[in-house]
Amino acid sequence: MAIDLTLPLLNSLALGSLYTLMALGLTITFSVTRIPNFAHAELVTVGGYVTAVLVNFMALPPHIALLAAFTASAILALSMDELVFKPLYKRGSRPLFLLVASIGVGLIVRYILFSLADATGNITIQTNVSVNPIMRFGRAYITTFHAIVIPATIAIVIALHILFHYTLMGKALRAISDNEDLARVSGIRIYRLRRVAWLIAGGVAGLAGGLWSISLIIDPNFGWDTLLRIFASSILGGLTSFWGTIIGGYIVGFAENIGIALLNTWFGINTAYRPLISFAIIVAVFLIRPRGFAGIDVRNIVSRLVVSRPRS
Amino acid sequence: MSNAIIEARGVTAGYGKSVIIEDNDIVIERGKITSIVGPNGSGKSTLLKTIVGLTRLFAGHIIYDGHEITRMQPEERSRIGIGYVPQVANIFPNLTIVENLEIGGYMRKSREEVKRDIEEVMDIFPVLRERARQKAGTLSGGERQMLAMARALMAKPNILLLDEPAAALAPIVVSRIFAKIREIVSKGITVVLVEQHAKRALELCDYGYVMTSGRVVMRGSGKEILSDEKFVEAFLGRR
Repeated sequence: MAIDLTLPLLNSLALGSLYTLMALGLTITFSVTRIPNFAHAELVTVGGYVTAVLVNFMALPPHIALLAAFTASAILALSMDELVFKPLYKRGSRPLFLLVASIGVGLIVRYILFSLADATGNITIQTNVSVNPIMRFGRAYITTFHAIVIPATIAIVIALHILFHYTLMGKALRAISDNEDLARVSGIRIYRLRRVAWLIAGGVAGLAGGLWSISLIIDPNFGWDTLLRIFASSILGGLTSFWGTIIGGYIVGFAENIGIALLNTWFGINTAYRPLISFAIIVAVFLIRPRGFAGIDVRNIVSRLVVSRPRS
Repeated sequence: MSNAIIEARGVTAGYGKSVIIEDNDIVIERGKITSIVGPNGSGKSTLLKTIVGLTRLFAGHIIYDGHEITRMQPEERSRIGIGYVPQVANIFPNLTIVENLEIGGYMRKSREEVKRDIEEVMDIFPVLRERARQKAGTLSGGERQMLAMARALMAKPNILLLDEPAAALAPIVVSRIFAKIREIVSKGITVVLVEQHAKRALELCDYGYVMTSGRVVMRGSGKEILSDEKFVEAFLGRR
């Protein structure tokens, strides 16, 4: 019996791209600041809401709304750091405390969103952009959504690669990620550059959320619900690897969609069990290959989160 | 008028809540080699890190070139000319060798000059040119040390603080590194050398400090210290 995998394949590509976009920001902020930022989820959600509200109620064109989503989430990410993470970090907080703080920040943003969405009657929302089929692919259609999401992801990956490898600022960000003290004694003003990291991470997350809101209905919990996939993608790459995260995003996308399609056909497993696959990936990475793809020991990173950091 | 480039007065410092070095005074003279020697765990490295600004300072003052830098961030200290090569973790392993050198010259205005200086560094260390596009983490111990010093020199510092640059290296590499240190000083850069190998460091230096248990216990010219009976007995062993 042949299983038609064309639809799951297309979904995998689209979702893999979105997971990649969401996870890249997580990897960037973790690399530069060593904060496993759980509030990253809300940066995605805010991007989704900004896009939907601007398109649906202000009748702005989608590309302007996505730009606004990028900007809004970038500013939110920067504010999170300036108001909460940076002061804690300067006081010498352990990464574990920063992790807990990030959960708190995420909760605050999420429930502000909930109140706003509830007050305006938009607990669920979807950006009103017509998604049209472009061409047939097996039994499925390649749509305008695929034609936006996949090239957008490729463009952002290329832009970030150029930033990190061909500009002095990007190299300095990688230097901070590699060895913060040595970066400081090389004259790199780390607190200025970390703003750049937050702006990029937030912006790309917001953009991913905006794109997501075009294809699916979202609610204030949507980022939080997706966080498991975002972390799975980043952890597959070892939490600090740029290319590892990209590969990780697509692996999670494919594993979920193809995996659940196969499990459904073969064993009749309900597709609602889809998130289990990301969870299984995280557990498997920890157990089998704690170094991720990029040769970085995730277990070591996790243990570092718990051990205190020698600084003033 | 003193010719001190750095003066540390009553310096008590450490990490978190723990004090590692207590009430130390040192003066580093411009254009000279100053060595700080002492056994493992005596606080030599902490003293060096305190000058750079990477420790927590509990008491005391640090004066650089007549200006108080006690409260200055490490990145600002490096911008006014204090160069530092840590003993370990002294390169960026995931950056290429060229990128390490570029970061070394990060705060310089002219990128053209940085490029030229990178070429010059590679002329001096041909091994770095061969591997220019490789990740620095792939270098051997001696090569790393060369890269670490080259990275610090890219910033054109007025003073270079070296933390055990010859630790755990083959003798032939050690002599190359010490030759390099002499060359650095001949270019007018002040050098502070922290060393466990006391004899080697004191023979090289103009002025030396001996530390034990977080305090400076002896000071003088290299020769004076090397001829001091108590020092010889405690650190070098009787012949």
